[in-house]
Formats: sequence, structure tokens, C-alpha cells
Amino acid sequence: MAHLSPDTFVDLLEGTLEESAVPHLAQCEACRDELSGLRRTWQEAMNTDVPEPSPLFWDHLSARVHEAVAAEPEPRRPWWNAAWAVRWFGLAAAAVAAIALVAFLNRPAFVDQRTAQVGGEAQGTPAASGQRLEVLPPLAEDESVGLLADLASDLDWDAVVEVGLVRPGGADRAVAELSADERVELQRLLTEAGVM
Amino acid sequence: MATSFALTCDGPSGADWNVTVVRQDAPADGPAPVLESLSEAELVAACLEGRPGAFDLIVQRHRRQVYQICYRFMNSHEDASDLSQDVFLRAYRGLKNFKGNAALGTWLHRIAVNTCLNRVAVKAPKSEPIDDADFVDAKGESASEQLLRDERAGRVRAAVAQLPPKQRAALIMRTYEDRSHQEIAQALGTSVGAAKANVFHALQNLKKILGNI
Repeated sequence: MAHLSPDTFVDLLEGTLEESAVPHLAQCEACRDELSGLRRTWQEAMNTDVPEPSPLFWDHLSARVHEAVAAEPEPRRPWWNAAWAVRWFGLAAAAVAAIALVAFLNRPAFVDQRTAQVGGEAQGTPAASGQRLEVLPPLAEDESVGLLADLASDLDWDAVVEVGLVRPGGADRAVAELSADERVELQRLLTEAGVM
Repeated sequence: MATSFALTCDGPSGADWNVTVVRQDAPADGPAPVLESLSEAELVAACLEGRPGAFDLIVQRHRRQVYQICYRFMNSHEDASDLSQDVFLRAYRGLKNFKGNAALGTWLHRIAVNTCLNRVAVKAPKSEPIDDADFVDAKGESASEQLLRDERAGRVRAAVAQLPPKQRAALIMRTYEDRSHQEIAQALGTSVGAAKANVFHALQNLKKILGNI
């Protein structure tokens, strides 16, 4: 006959399980005795207080802790949580955004490498319409992208979210505002960066 | 006075926007609120801002709870006193990591349990004579009743202190701190089932140590 499990004993002791819901108890004297002994032991343990120390002890303890803490360096908020960090992040984000905007506005016209290879034969492409086209250098050689990457490399995403520099859905909205060509270029850049 | 600016944009879009900048002066440097009136989260923030006395107040509010956990683990006033100091020191060092998701008391409780578990891993607890002069009679009982009760309680405390560390921790948290099995499991880094099993085996061992009571 299988006896009650520790789990069942604890549930019975704590009253989360009624004895009537455990038919085994009525049939097994060993389990009844065990339950009864555990119950008495627990009751005894519950009734045992910690001796109250001298009233002077509490101030003594506080003084000891105070001394020990005084020898410690002051705890500080994590740097990304400090007020100065929020302001700094704001300025840094504004600078990054400004650089990105300038780089974007001054960028040369671009075409997809594959489009360039066909020599603008495809109808409707900028090359076909006679625009002067320039193939962008690889991502790793682009100074503006490198600058942005350097500035962003130290930013922890959770910290950036925490200080409110980005908002949920912000990336989706930004992508939605891109033109078709810009989306193609974004896709190329992401592929090149190994994100896609 | 601290100065901030509020930016308001009106109008349909683009070049038609009217931008209004309003300067706001706020008395941010006014008198700081009295520490005693602060909530726990505000008190933690005050500590992190370096306000004198803020951590002392945290110690004052929680020292009894921390001491009692330590005493139950070690069954010694001297060890409990040393451990309590360690607990608060660890708390101070880790204060910047306190997220405020749990109550400060719960957080300190967990530090206390971990500190005690670490200590019992390297040091066997020693029992203390029950008539230690540091303790006072707070119940107003007769001398013989007090003696009998203390003797009984001393036996139980000594028995608890003999339990294996995890059983001891589980029993103390469940019996004296009213922690749920889930909380015990989290504190001990075990499953809920293992936490319950620890409580069961702790009681079983306690019963054996104490004999027939």
C-alpha cells in the first residue's frame, strides 16, 4: 500500500486539503500517526518565539550598521536612471538624429547593386530616366553610418526605452513613412548587416 | 527655483504650426519631505540620492524582522547580530538594484535568507544558553512558567538550528514568515514541489530530534 506523499502531508497540515478527501488516511494507521505527530511538532514550532533582546540592542545594531555603511561608497542609481543621464541621452539622441538627417539629405542617389549591373536597362528605374546614379560604398566603409554605429554602440536598449527615447511602434511608423526606394535600401542595409 | 520649458504645437501641419514655449518655474529646491513620512520606495530613492539618515531609517524599520530570521537560523544572539549587520550591508550595496517590484521587506527577507544560508554552509550554528542575560522577560509570566516555556522553546530552536540548511530555511520561511511555497521556492532556487518536500522533511526531522512532545 502506497503511503501519502510529502506533498499531500503538507497540504493536509496546512489545511489546503481536507482529510476526508484522502481515503487512505482512514485505512492507514501509520499515515494517521505521522500526520498527527507532524501536526504537533509544527504547532510546537509555531509557538516558539525568538527571545527578545535587550531594548538597547536595537540601537546598538543600528549604530553598527551605520558605521559599516559609512565605510562604504555611496550607492548610486544606475547611470541610465540618473537625471543627468536622461538629459545627456536627450542631447545625444538629438545629435544622432541631426547627424542622421544631414547624412540622409546629403546622400548621393543610390541604386541597388543588381540594378546597376544591368546598366539601367530596366524601364522605370532612375537609370532609365537619365538620372546620374552612384552606387553607395559598402556599409562598413560609410563614415556616417560608422559614426552612428559608434554613437549607438554604448546605448543599452532597455535603458533607451526606459528614458523614453523610443516609443512603441516608432520603428513601424518610421518605416511606413519611407519611400519605395528607401525601403529597398533599408532592406539591403539590413541584409548587409546580417539582421535579415 | 528649477526652470523647465513646455512646448506646445498648434495648427494643421508643417509650416502652419504655431509653437509656444512656456517657461515654468517650479519650487524644486524647496524643503525636502521628512524622511519618516516617506514610503519605502521614496526612502530607497532618498538613499540613492545620498540623503543622510535615509538608510538608517530603513534599518530601523526592518531590523527586528531581519534579526529574527537570523536568530532562527543560527539560534545565537551573537551570530544573529553579526548576520543582521551583514544583511543590511549587503542591502546597502545592492540598493541600486532594488527594482521596487517587491516590498522592501520581502527583498530584505530574501537577502537575509541567502546570507544565513551562506553562513550555515561554512559554520555550524551554536546553541545559546536560554538564560542569556541579554534577554528580557516580555510576557509577565511567573518565574517557573517562564523557565518551563523558555526551556521548551530553547529545545525547539536548537532542533530547528540542527536541520539541514534548506530544510531549515523552508521551515523558517513557512512557519514564522508565512511565505508561500512559491516564495520559498524562489528564495531557495528550487521548484515548488521541492520547497514543499523541504518543509515536510524539516518537520519530520524536527519530530525525530524533539522526540515525543
